[in-house]
Amino acid sequence: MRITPFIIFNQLTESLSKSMQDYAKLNENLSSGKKILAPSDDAMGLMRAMDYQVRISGTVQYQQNIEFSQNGLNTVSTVMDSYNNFLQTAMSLISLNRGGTQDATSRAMSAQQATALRDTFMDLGNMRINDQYLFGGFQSGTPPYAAGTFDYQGDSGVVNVPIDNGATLAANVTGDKLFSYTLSAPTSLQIAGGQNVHYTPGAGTTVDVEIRDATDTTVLDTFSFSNVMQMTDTLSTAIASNDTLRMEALAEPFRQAQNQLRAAQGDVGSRLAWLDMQSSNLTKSSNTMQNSLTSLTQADIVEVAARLKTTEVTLAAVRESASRVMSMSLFDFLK
Amino acid sequence: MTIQGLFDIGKSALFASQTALTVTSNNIANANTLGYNRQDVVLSIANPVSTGAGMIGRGVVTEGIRSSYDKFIEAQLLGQQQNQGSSAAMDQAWGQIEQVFNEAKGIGLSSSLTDYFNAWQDVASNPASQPPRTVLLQKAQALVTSAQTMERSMLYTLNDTNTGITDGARQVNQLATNIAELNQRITQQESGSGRATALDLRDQRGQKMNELAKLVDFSSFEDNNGAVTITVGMRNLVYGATTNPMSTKTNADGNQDLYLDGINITGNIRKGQLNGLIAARNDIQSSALAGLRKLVGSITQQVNALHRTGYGLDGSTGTDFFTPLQVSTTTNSAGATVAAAITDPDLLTLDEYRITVDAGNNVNIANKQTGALVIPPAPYVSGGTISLPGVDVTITGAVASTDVFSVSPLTGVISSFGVNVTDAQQIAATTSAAQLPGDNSNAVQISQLANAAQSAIGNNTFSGYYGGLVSTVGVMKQSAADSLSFDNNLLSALQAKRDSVSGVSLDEEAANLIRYQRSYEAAARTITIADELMQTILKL
Repeated sequence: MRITPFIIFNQLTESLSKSMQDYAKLNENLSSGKKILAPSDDAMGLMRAMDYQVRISGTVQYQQNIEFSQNGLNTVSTVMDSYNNFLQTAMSLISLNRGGTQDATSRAMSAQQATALRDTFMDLGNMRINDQYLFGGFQSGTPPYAAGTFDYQGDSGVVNVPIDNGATLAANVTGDKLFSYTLSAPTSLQIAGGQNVHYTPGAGTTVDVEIRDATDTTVLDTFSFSNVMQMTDTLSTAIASNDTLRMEALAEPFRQAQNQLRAAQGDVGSRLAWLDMQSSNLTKSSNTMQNSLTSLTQADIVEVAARLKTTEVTLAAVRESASRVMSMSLFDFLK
Repeated sequence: MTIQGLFDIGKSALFASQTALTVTSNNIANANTLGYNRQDVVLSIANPVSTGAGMIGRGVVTEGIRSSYDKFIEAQLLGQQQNQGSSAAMDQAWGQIEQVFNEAKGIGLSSSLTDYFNAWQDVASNPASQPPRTVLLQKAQALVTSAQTMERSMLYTLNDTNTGITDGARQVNQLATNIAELNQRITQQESGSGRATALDLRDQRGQKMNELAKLVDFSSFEDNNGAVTITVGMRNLVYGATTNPMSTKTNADGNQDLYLDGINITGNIRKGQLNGLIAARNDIQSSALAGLRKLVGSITQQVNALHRTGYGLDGSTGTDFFTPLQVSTTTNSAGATVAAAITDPDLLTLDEYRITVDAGNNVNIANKQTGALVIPPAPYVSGGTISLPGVDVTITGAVASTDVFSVSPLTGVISSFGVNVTDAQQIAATTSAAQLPGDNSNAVQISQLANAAQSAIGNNTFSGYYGGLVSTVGVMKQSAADSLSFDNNLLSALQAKRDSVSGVSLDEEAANLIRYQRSYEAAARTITIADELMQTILKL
């Protein structure tokens, strides 16, 4: 084959261009630390990397949601602990005064204490986080318990927060599930004096109480309540007036309120445990995906550096060869 | 043979050497001239004269100058120039699009899409709070901006391709004019000679044809007068000394079509830069651009559908989160117009429609992408309503069988993409007014759209579909780069092959210079000796 200067020149130009392209690419790999610099480098690999990134980002968001839910439920849990203590105080006041033997001064003090307990329950029920009422359900913008009537103004709305793909968890507890209990069927019991007390479910969490004599024929007293605030308010009045029948009749509802609280504590505890477990799973999953993403997209620095060195040598050789070949001409040797 | 015969032999040798030196010098001068084919002198023995001693030669005759030219290699080279021109244009166009979707460097839609739906989860976590709502509006605006930036970049590239097609047609016309002029000069110069003597003009024409081949594929043949006829897209571009100018015309889709001799030849261009530009333009429009528009259309449709059912903190309902989808129409008709209106945005399939009228005056409505008829052909009624999923179409006026109408909910979907909710209080996180402000169920549903398969985008999730788009762009760019690399290599090999036959070797020419110089000196010496012989005779 005849070789002309054009052929040599073109070959050298192409070799130089190719070597420079390789050199620039490897240099960018090295400086960015990335293996994939453009979709055309590895289209499928980049698609997988994007999928990992989306899933990792989703995991981070779920963890933020979990953290938010944990904060709310931990506050609820703290409230429940206090609530439990105050319920026990209320029950102690019943025990202290139900015999009717306390003098007027002691009763007045106990009644005052019961009133203070009612207000404490109100404070707990109307607790706020970030300007939102914790126990109002969806009605988080207004106080769940009305001053004066102590009626529940919230609803049973459950705020479900996403904690995984397609999975949500209730992040709140409503007042009607914590500070009230729902009587499923009428119940009766006999109190210390032989009188009979009948508890009948009313609308929502309302419980109608009827106290009858020992023969269960004559109605001695009736009253109603729908939450622990109203119960405590009634208790305060009963202590002040030394109404032992009402005090006796209120002992069972306070026990029911305590049972309700234990159930709610169990529910919140299990939700917090679930959130912990889910957070841990998400962290593990995120770490695994991050490792996969790194191996998919990050350049092996050692390998890139070695290839860069090889390309440098190639480039230098091409340049050397070009300078030698291009300088050769028969004209230089003709005299 | 007389002594004068010696003079004649010496003279013929001098002339032959001088001609050879001239040709060699010309070769050296054109060593770097593109398209130049090296030339050499064809020498032959002058007719011998019969003497008593036998036949004695009468010197050398210059038969002509020959060009080193291999028709087969040149034809291959022309073909490869066409392939390379097409690949280079494709590679360049897809290279630009690849940078629009370069998620490897964080350029594109992925992060803003993820951030947007994550922001809905923040609203779901705290539905009555203002800060997450404000953040959601910011993330939504970021999504809008990303999509619009991407579309704008793609439209710039598409505009560049259309401009490239127009410029390409202009270059084709310039080259056609050059070739036609060269045809004329070659025909004049070679007239009556019966041989290809206009070597330099032929080289110039060959080079122009090579340049033309980079632009467009053509077929050519040379007539008996030495003129070439060039046909592009089965129409004559150059015929002897005349040309048919190639022109461009904007079609119904806003793209440039190529016309030659009054005929649309766009579909007949198979190679060359023009083919690369046309193919890249069509592929980008039908894959990357259409895909991104469909994605944005689907996000708008799905988010709006849920958002409309919810309630904002201010009690508002029925509000679209993003600017509602709209349909756009194009009319390519002399006597009729088309109009379209959305009847139910939730029923829109995000398909684009192409409407034609057949010879029997029936209206045919086909899916623009697949070509499949979406409803059976029906007789045309001016002003009649044609109901398609979620959209009513009305054509009014006199239609003809050449009319083409299009209806698309996607053409302006990104340019009109925007956040419709202006007040964070209007963000509908709640499904019922009675459950305000704490209900988050609508926000949860909207956030879960991110992981839901959407029928309008082939039962993919939004991010999955977008990942597919990025992958498609990457594969197209890789394919274009591979083709270009292959075509470059093949072109280099063919050019080397051509140069090995037709290229000028300076070493070879240097040797020829010495050779013909020595021949010249020897011929001069012959004349000197003849002169001395003559002197000797004269002195007798």
